[in-house]
Amino acid sequence: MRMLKGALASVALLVAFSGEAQAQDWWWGITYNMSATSSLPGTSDSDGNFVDDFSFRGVGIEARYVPDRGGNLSYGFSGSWNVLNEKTDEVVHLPGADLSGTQLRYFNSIPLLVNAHYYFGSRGGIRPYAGLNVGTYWIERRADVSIVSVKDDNWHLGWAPELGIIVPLGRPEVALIANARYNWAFSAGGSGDQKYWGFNIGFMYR
Amino acid sequence: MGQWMTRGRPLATRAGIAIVATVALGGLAACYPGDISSIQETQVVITAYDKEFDYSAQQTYAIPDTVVEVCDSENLNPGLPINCDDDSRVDYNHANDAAFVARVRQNMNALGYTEVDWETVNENNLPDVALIMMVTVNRWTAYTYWGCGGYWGWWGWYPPGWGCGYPGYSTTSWDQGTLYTDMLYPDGASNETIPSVWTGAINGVLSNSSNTNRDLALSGIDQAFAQSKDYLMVP
Repeated sequence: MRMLKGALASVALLVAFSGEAQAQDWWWGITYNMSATSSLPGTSDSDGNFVDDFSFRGVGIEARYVPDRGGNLSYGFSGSWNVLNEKTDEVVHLPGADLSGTQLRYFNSIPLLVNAHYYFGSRGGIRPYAGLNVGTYWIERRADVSIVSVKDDNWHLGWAPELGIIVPLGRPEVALIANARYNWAFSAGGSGDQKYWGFNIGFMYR
Repeated sequence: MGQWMTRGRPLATRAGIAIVATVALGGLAACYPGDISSIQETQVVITAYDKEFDYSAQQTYAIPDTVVEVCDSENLNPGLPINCDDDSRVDYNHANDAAFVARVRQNMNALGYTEVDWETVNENNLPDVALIMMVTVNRWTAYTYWGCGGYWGWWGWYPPGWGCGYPGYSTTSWDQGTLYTDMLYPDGASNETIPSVWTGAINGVLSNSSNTNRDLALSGIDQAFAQSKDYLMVP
């Protein structure tokens, strides 16, 4: 029994030591993502808004490394999946031709971004933050008309400025995160700049 | 070690939780939500025009009373892909020809054109444009192969979910029709070919109901003219 207590005390000391001595954190998070390509400024791409409807479909993962626990800076990466879709009867104008009919339009975006964030406020409190994401976007645009489907997909370089807030949820290991990102993927493969807003909410934990 | 371990779970575990939760949530976000929900929504109307042609100079037209099956004639070319494969061709019922021609006539008149009776058309009495209606109907079949016909756990020694009874597939077939209205320009004829200066093509999956198909085609004809009226309208 004494041995067991000793072992537990050693493990406790080791854990406490490794945590405090390093004084750093990895925060992980999952977010529910919503997106919009209209009704907000600066959202058009060179082809106009491919999809106008607001989207409630999306999911994301976050990882943030805080070198100085409770400090103001973090570095990390994020991956997410945003799905926008729309059913429309809008007439499509092409060079020398016009097309009408029910169209199902889909916009699938997978941003893979590295980021840096700066946090306001102090440790343990509500932390508003600003950040910058840089990386690649895989974007597929697809239109189904009648039984015909046309699509293009490309890897884009892009960036996304971000504003958000982190709210502690009573325990030091768990927090609520909410943010807005303006995703800007530069033109690639004949597809113009793709821009859309992301509104994300989820949990962070460490 | 310390860098990868803080209070709580190991880094790999925490990352795993995030990834699994993300994938699970991702299941709610299908790549292609929404669907075509009716025969009407399969219909598409395509109009093509000649950007160099002076539509404003045309004032008269003529149209025959019949709709021609494209695949029955080697002299017709609506300028769009056509499948005349004997295996997929479906006989076209000409019962609605008069209704289709009448609807084209109605739209042309509404745009300000004057009709020249087709029976009176000859080399000395040519209309500015002639309208020819054509049709194709094809049957399409899609096969979906499932590979494994079910019977989960049929073989007792397989883990649940691995039993494979028989290869399974399902088939879906549908008839698809295209109704073309071509506007020909007789004065531009050369080498025994009369150029087409406008095409309206209505394409869709056909219903079992003849009335539904007729109504869809008629609304498609209206749409073809509606989306072209800016340049077809007689000034």
